[in-house]
Amino acid sequence: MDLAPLSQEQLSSILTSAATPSELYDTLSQYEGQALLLADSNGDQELLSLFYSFFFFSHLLIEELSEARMLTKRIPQNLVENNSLLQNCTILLRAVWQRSHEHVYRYLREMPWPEPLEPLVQRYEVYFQNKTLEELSCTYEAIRPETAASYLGLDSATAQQGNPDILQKFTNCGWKWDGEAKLLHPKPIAPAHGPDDRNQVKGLREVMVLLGKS
Amino acid sequence: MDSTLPDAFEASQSGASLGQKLAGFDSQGRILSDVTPYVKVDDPPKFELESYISNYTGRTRFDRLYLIGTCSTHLSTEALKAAVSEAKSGKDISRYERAVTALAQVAPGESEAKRDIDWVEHMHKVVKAETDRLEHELKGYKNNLIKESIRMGNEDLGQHYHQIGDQVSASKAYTRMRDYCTTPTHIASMLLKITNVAIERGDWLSVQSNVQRLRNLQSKPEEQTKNKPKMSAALGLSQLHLDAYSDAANSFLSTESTLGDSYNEVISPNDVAVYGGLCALASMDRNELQRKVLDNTSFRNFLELEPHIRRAISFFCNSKFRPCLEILEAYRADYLLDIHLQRHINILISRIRTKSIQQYVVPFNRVTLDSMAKIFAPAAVAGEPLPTDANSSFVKELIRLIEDGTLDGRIDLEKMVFVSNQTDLRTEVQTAALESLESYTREAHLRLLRTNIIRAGLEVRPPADQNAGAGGKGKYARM
Amino acid sequence: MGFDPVQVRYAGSEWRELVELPFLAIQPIREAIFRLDPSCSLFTSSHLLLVKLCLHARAYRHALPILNKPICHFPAGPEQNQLENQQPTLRTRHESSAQVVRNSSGLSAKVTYREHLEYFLNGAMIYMVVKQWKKALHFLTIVISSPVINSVSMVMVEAYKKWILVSLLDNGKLVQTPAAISSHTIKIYRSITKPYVTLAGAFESGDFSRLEAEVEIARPIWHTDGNTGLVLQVVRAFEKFRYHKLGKTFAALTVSDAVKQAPSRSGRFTNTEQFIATLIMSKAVNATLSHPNDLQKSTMLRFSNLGSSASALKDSLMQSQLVEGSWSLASLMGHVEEGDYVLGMSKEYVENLQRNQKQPGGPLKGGKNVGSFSGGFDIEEDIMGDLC
Repeated sequence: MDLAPLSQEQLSSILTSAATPSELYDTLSQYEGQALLLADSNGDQELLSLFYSFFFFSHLLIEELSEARMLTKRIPQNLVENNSLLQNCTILLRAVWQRSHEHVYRYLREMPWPEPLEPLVQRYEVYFQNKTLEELSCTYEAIRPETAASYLGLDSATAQQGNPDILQKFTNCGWKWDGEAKLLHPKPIAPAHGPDDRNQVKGLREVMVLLGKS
Repeated sequence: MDSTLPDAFEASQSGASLGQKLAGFDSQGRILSDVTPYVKVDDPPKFELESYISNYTGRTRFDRLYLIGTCSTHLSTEALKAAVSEAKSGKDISRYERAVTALAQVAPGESEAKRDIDWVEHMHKVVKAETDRLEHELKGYKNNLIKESIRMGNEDLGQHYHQIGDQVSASKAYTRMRDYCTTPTHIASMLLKITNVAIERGDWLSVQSNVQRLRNLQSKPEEQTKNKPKMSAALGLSQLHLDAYSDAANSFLSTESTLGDSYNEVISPNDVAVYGGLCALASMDRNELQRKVLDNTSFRNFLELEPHIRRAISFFCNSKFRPCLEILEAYRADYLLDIHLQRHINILISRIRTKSIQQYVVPFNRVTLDSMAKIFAPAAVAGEPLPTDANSSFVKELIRLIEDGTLDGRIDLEKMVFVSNQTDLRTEVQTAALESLESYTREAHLRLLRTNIIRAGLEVRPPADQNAGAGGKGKYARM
Repeated sequence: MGFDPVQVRYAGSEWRELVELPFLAIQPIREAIFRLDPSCSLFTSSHLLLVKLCLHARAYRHALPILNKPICHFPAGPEQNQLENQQPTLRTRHESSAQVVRNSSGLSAKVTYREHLEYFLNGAMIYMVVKQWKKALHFLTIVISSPVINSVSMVMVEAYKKWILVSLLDNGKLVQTPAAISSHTIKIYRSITKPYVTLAGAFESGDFSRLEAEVEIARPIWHTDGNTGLVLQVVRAFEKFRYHKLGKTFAALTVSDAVKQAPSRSGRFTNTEQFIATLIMSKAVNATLSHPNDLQKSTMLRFSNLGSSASALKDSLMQSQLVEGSWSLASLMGHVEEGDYVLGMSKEYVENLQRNQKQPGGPLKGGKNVGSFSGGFDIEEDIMGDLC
């Protein structure tokens, strides 16, 4: 294994050099063995918890929730026991898992995340907000602004009063505002992260041929 | 003719137990429904009792009167009084007792409601003497070994038992005639008698097997033309009672109009029209109804006796479902007082209704619940939710029909319409292809594995120590 | 060549680390399996070792690359060496790496039926954890329909229990039992797994309170069997499938009407609209919600047209699924071809062929019948006939 040894600097440079979330995930996952060995020999607790929280957020960013859950169970228990950072990760995961949007935003914003992790936390908040917006735009045909705002972690009360700033956030995405009915009409937003197109469409015919042959 | 008559009786035994489950018969094979009616009809029927009962002869008269008397609140006294006098004109004491008991419950003041002890005691003696005489005579014939006399002796005895209400003995006596029948005519008359007893007992499987025997019988053509309509009608009755409405419809529809009044001890031509018409409505589509019922020249003779049935069928064929259902509703009370329809009429009408709803939505992409309700739920019941409300019984009915797959569509409670399902061929083909591809792949993999597991000798076997002794069945290895 | 798990057992302290940190062993073993047999189609004892390690280390995802490669072959079992010896020369031309491993038996410890059953059961459990229900169901089907001789393994019974639950989770109903299982075996299964059968009955009845009652009654059983988690997921799935069903009956209705039609779990979801929104957002239900102008009215729930919502996304997704499916079928065909060839060399096959050639137009025409299962599987029936 020709991995550079695990260190805070190494983690930061991995974070800056990874172009995509899945690249980040791939790189970090190579370190899990090292981390385990380090934990086994009672290594640097702070470094370890930082590594695991990095790794945890890289799961969230690629929507690997069940794997993230498994990760929280793989982290050596003696490490988790006295570590609020790793415990907070689990709390956050539960909120994401249960799709409890309000809690997700609150945890992301209010929990004391360590400074090196901050960029990832913010990145996830943006990701989560965008994803929710996409989902919401396909779920509702008409929605009250306060409901929409709460899904996106915006201030519900001001939205209810028709705050133009908040409304503009929605109209910028192509949603229509019906001031009289006090309803937003979402416009479905196609997901930015579409499925991989490389194996596109060989068509039904080929499949039918295959079925016919057998 | 087959030679299995002795077991025909066994078949009727099992049939009787089936009948018991269906309609409730006591161990003597009497219809129990007239002791404890499960139906109370408060609406006045359209028919007039006297002219109705004059359509029938024989023991069915009492059964019908008694059923009407115990089920209809309007006709109870009149019908039960008629039942009492009907019973008194016969020799069946138990019938008399039942009729008097029932009458005493609804009209204790009537003179007929008092038990005529003298008549009962007298009749007991008469019946006893008659039974003894006939049994004695039969014994004599048997000693003389004259086939014809033995046959007739059994016939007389069967008839006697039939009249006094001992159907099991009647059936036995008639069945014993078998060995002494010398001509097909004899056999035919014997089978008809057994059939009639079976109909009275409600032993419908026996009715069917005896009709089948009659059908296979090689008898004279004129004899056949005489018996055929009876056979069709009896078969139809049995199919009706066994819930085979489509078969029943076909049997009644093929009953020749020569039946006339010849089978009045069982069924009147009016009954054939009603039973056949209703069963057809409940089981046939519009084309079939037109072809097999309305254009059926022979059945038309029956339908002329019951013009409203004919009207209901024509309405249905012309997609005028509301008048069709209204006619049936109007006659529901009558049919609930019919000895054969009582248990089936609600099912039949609800099937006709379901078919009407089904037919009604066919031409539409979408149709308002309101216009459907106007046809199928016209009478707004006070205190009930409006027919178009999500919790109304009409919408609930629609939900049930969608869920069981009768209706291919969905309810839109926002626009208050019923929407027929549009099929998207492209998606459907794709989904189907994907599914068959997946299941094919899985199946292929399973089979490949199976072959290769067997080839590698890796089947699950009983543990090695048990292997020596021939591996018993059902053991399973521990992990 | 790289890595032999057998050698590792003698590697002292490194091995101790592996035992204590099973996670570390996963990567090297996985690589070793791939290197020995890139197609991964031959079952070896390392396969089982790997999935067990992954389960133990809770590194479920790490097993998927191996699990996703369909197993097609098995090393010869204890009683099955004569067949191997029958075709020594003809093999070379046709040799695949699978056969190399098969012959040099040192590369895999001798396997028994228990090993392959456990592999597929453990594999199914990994698929369950990552919620790939279809694949889990397929693996379980392999276990419960595995060929038996007068015996049923407890592994199969455990698999049958999970098969019932996964079937409900994947399809909202019990799927048909595979045709290969004898009715006798099914009877044994059903008699040992009664609580599960009853649970499935309650699920299919659509009566939520009945389902809850069955779940409650047999709680100790779910626990003993290690199926509590699955059962709880079944309860959750029940509501999802009920909304599916609702969408087949209604094109649109208010949320409050929906609650009346499909009552939610009491107390858990005070906000039904949020629950439905979650179902829609996670693409479990194909519908939209719409707030009314009037605050007093209930939110409208509109179900999408059945089928017609084939958006561009869904279309291309389905297409790629189709393509993916056809690939795996094609690769399977390759193994069938190989299997046909080996079978073509076996005594049973030749005899059967001779028998069939005597009757013109018999089912077996050519010697090798690529892709036609009738060839291979008629014989399978004969093998069965010989053994049973």
